[in-house]
Amino acid sequence: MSEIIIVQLRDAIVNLDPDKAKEMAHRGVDEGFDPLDMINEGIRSALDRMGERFASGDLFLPELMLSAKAADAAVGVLEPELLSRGGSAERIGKVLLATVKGDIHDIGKNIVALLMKAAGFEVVDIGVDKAGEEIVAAAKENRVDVIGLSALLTTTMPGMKEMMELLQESGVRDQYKVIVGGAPITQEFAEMIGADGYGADATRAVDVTKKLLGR
Amino acid sequence: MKAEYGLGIDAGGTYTDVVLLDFATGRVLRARKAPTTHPDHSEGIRNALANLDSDLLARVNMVSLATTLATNAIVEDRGAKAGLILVGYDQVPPDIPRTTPVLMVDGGHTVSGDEKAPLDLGAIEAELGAFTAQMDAVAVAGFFSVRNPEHELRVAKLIRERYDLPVVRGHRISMRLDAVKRATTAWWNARLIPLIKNLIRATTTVLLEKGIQAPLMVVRGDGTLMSAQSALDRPVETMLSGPAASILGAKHLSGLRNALIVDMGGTTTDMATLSGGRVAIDPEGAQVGRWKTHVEAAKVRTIGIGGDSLISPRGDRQLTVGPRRVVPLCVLAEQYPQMVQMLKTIQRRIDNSQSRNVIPCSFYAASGQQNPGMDPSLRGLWDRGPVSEFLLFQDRRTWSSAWSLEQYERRGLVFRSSLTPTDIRVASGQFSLGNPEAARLGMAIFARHMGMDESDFAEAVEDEIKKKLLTEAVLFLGDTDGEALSHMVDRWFRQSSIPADGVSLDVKMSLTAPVIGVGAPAKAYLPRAFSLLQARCIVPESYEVSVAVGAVVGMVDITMTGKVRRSDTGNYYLHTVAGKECFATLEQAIEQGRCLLENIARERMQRNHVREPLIDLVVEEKRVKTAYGDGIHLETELRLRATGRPNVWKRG
Repeated sequence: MSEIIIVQLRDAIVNLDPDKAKEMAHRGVDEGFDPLDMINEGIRSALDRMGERFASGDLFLPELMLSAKAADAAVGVLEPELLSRGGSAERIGKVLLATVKGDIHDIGKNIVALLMKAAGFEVVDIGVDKAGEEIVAAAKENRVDVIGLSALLTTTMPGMKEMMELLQESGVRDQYKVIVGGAPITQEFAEMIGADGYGADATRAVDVTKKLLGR
Repeated sequence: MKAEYGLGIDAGGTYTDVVLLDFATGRVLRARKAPTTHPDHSEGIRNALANLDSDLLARVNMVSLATTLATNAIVEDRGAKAGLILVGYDQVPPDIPRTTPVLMVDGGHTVSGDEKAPLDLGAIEAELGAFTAQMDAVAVAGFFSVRNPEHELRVAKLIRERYDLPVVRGHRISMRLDAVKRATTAWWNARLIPLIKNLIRATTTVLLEKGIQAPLMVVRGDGTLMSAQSALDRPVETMLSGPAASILGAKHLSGLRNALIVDMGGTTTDMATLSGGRVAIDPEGAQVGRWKTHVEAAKVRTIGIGGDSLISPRGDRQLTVGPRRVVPLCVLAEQYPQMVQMLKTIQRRIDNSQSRNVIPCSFYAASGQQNPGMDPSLRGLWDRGPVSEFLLFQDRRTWSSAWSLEQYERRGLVFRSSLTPTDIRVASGQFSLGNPEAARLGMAIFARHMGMDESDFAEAVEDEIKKKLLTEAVLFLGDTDGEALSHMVDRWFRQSSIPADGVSLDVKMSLTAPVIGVGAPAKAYLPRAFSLLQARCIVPESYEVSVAVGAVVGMVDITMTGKVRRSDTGNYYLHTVAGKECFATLEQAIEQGRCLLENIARERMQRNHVREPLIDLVVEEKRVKTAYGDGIHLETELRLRATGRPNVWKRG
């Protein structure tokens, strides 16, 4: 019976229904589900499926974005639960997250933000379509340890390389660990632009970040 | 064919060395030395050249100078007064002293070479009069000037039109990213221009006196050469010139292509590596003292230990050698023979009950500098020559003055002479220099002070030197400053000298390549020290003058890069040292990049006296596959390398 709620949560997202997604999230919490399981098995797998359908031309962008909205609604319910359970007051590092200039996709980034928080990181999420200068300014202002960059479009990948160069030119490259991620990104690309880490998915992004900070 | 010789000069160490090298055979024909003169090195160069036959000098067709001028000036924070103009920066580089005149104005570029903000030339014009007053040079640095130098060029033009001042433009000094380091490097370059100008003028004068009409080259920090003319524009590139020349000299003299090179001098020992015949370069850029720069330079580890290092007691029966440098007893006693008598007095009075912290055979002598700050009661103290610290402390009338000696030394009013490794070699008859009796007495006194017999004492000094050299070699090759490694070396060293009883861990380390030892004390210490690392240590012929040899065997070697990237509008930007240009297609941009870089390279090689350079240009397209399977073009990089020997084998 436990599976049913997760399946229903998944369906709510696939059916672009934020209200239903929210409801299922609440029910899951009430029935004592682990919020992390609900995110990984419910929300993420739904988003993965939508992403695949979008990539194969089976889905249009407005639908993809609606599904993200539904996922967000569920995440909004699960997040406080997750954080209160993770419960550790200790913050193991401060992470800045942004989607680079020209890219407005934030589903992936938002999930990374959530898992980072659950793992004990303090997260500064400055949003989407961020120019390099804004990212560097925010990193300095918030004194973060890690900068996480996300992209969904291949056309914005060169922007990640430019971001690395801006950090170098600003003389602050060695003050931050930089991780990159997003659907089109590969390990090879991350190495080519000189990033410190690459997370193939949100869980691995958290693992890589922990490793970079020696945790 | 008429024989052609190279004249190599190593100016700036304790001695100025000159060598004549026969280019046809690669052999050192003559080597001469003279004490270096300060602050004007030309007198030392003149003295070193004094007794070289003029018919040999007439065959010289290239002169090359390795100089510590830039390194020393940076370490001692000495240089001309230079202002710094920062365009589009949000901070002054933190290492620049607050007393430096700095002008920050709006402007600068973005990563793709587009204008970040318009250049506020008006703000500069308004301040320029006051800013340039009493200034020797100015450095201009723009944010992302490596992607578009336009703002730097406009500021430089404005200053040049109005003032007769050298203006350094950041992108000409470094095409690497990091605006902070680039500004720092450009600022130091500006500070060094007047200094290098004096050195080159003085050297040229000496060469003219000697009738030598050959191009004058200067060694850069990576061991390659540049013309004196180029050095006037880019003096900061002579940072670490000496150590880099030493590596090339060691390579030439030994014929090896892979080795750890250890250059032991009077004050310091430098370590560097030679791999595949090339000097290993520090990827971070040269660092001297607290200054981090963009200068391409050899990766060198400098250790404060050398033949003239101060030996001092440390706890019970323990010794420290270095990092301070003093004048060896045998050297000062040659000038002041009365020191022998004083040493005999000390010897009579010494036993091993004195405080271990006092060095029993330290002398202080007046440096000849005017000393207005000195306590009037002390002024007469040095009239009859050096004073002994030990005897001053023993005499009730003078002991209070003894406390001030170190302070006077720090202020350069007096200098110190004490027992050094050089004295120990002289005392034991391995080496002949100055007054050997003073050396022998100094060693006997120190040994008794430590409660050791003389041979144990000499061995303890050598062990301490060996340990420091090996520790540093391991840290250098292990590429770490880790304390853990340092402890490990310490244990390993003890075990290799004293067999441990019972059960313990045995650590074994060995070098995979030979060691080339150069510099005056090399033979005495290096082969035995490095045998502990199972390494063959070669001390080649002419090992004392490897820097001067390295100066003359170097080549001119210039590298340049260009980048082509797609712009937001679908055009292609070409970024080179000459600026940013826009093209409709990738191919056009690459073609123009090739022509441009080749032309600049030919012109630069000519300025460096290379007539027929070897030019190698590589075009690398950087493409990467995305997870979706398609490829994206990140950039196309053009890398040019131009090499050649200046003016050799080509004169009629």
